[in-house]
Amino acid sequence: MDLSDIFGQSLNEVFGITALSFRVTGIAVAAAALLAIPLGSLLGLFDFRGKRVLVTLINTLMGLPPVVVGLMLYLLLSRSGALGPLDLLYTPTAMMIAQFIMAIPIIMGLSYSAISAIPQRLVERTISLGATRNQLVIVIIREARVGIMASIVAAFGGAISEVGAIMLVGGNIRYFTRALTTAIVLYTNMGEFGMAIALGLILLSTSFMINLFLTYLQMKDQGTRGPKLPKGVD
Amino acid sequence: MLLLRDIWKSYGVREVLRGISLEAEGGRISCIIGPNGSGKTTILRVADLLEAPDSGAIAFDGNDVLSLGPEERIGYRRRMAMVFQQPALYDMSVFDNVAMGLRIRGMDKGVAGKRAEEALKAVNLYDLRAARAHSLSGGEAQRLCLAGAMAVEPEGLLLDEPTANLDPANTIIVEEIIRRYAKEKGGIVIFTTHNMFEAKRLADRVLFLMEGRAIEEGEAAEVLNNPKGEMTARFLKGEMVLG
Repeated sequence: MDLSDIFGQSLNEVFGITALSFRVTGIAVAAAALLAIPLGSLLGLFDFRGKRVLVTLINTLMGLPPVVVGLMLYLLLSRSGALGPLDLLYTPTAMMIAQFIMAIPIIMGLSYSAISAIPQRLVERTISLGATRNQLVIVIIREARVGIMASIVAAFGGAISEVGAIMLVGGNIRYFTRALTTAIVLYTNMGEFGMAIALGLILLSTSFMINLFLTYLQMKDQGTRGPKLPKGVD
Repeated sequence: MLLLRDIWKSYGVREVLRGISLEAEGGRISCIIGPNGSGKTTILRVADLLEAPDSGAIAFDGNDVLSLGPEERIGYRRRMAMVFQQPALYDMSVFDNVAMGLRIRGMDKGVAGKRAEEALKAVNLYDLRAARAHSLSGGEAQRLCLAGAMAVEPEGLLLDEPTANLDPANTIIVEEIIRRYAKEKGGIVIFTTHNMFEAKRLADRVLFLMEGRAIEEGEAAEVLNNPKGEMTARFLKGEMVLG
C-alpha cells in the first residue's frame, strides 16, 4: 500500500506542511532565544527601579493568549495597519513574528528565574576569584544553563502546538502557510478525522524527537537534577 | 603586607565591625578568633572587597586598596584568594571547579591543568577529579574550595573557618597546607576560627574579636596562654571546657 493512500493526498504536501511548521517555529524560537536569554539574564543579574513591575509584566505575558497576539499582529500587518506596506500578512514571516512575540516572555521569564536561583555565594566566589563583569555574567549563565534550556523547551513546545495566531496571520494557505496545527483544524472542520489524527501524530512524534534532543542537551553532563526521594525509605 | 586600619561596618542599625585594625605579614599566619557573630567573616569579606567598609583603610604592599578603580580591584582580588565557610561549588566537575580561578586569569590550558591537578593531589581529591562537584561531601567540598584557592598561587589567603567541616585527619592535611603556604612560600594568611586549639596550632598572631570590637591582639602564644582581658580569658576558658 502506498503511504500517500493513507493520507489521501500527496505525501509531499504532508512533508511540506511538517517542514514549514518546524521551520517557522525553529526560526522564531531561535531568534527569541537570542534576544530573550540576554535580557532575562540582565533582569536576573541587576537590580533597578521598576524591576518588580517588569517581572510581573513578563509573568503576565507568559500566559499571553495566542489569538490576541494574532489579532494585534493581524491589525498591524493588514493593508491599513502600521506595518501594512511591508506586505507580510499571510506569509510564513508573519507566522514567525507571531511565534517570536509569544516565545519572548516565556524564555525571558524562565531565564530570569533560572538566573535568580543561582546562590549569592557562588556569585561572590566568582567575584573573589577575580572575574571581570563579563566573565561573571558568562559563569552565571553557564550555571543557569539547565533552567535556560528549559525555557527554550517550553517556548518551543508552546509555539509548535499553537494554532490561533498563525491561523490569523498566516491564513492557512495551501502549499504556502499551512502548518501542522492549522491543517489539523482544517481537516477536522472538513470531517476528515483520519487525516487530522495522522497530522496530529506527526506533530506529536516530531515534537517529541526535538524535545528529546533539547532535553539531552539540558542534562547531558549531569543526569537528572533536583531533590530525590531516598531509596528504600517508605 | 596587608593592613586593615580602623575598619567600621554596619548593617542598618547593627554595628558589626567597630574600629578593627589588623596587620598581616607574609610568612606569618594571622588568626581572627571569637564567638559566632563577632564579625570574623565580615572582616575577611571587607579585606576581599566583597563588602565596602563604612570607614577605615586597607593597604596592600603600601598601596591604598579602597581607592582602587574597578579594573585595579579585579587585579587586587587576583592577588588574593578567599575560601568561604560555606563551600560554593560550580555545577561542573571537581577538576573544573579548581581550574576556574586559573581560567578566569586566562592561563594557558596546559599550565592550568597541571596546577589544578597538583592542588587536587595536595588536598587528597585527585581521585575524584572527574566527579561532579555537587556529589562531594561537606568536607570534600571544603577541601575543593581550598584547592581552588591554592591553585591560583595567591599572595594572600583569606580563610573563613577553613576546617569547620573537616574530620581530624583532613584538618591535619589542611592545616599543613596552610602552614607550608605561609612558611615556605611566604604568603599572607588570615584565617578565622572559634576553635582555640586550632588557633594555637596554626597562628603566629591572634586578634580576638567580640561583638565587632577588637578585645585583644598580639602574638598567639601570649594572647592564648596569658590573656590580659577578662572577656578573652572567659571565652578561652569556655572553649577549654567545651573543647
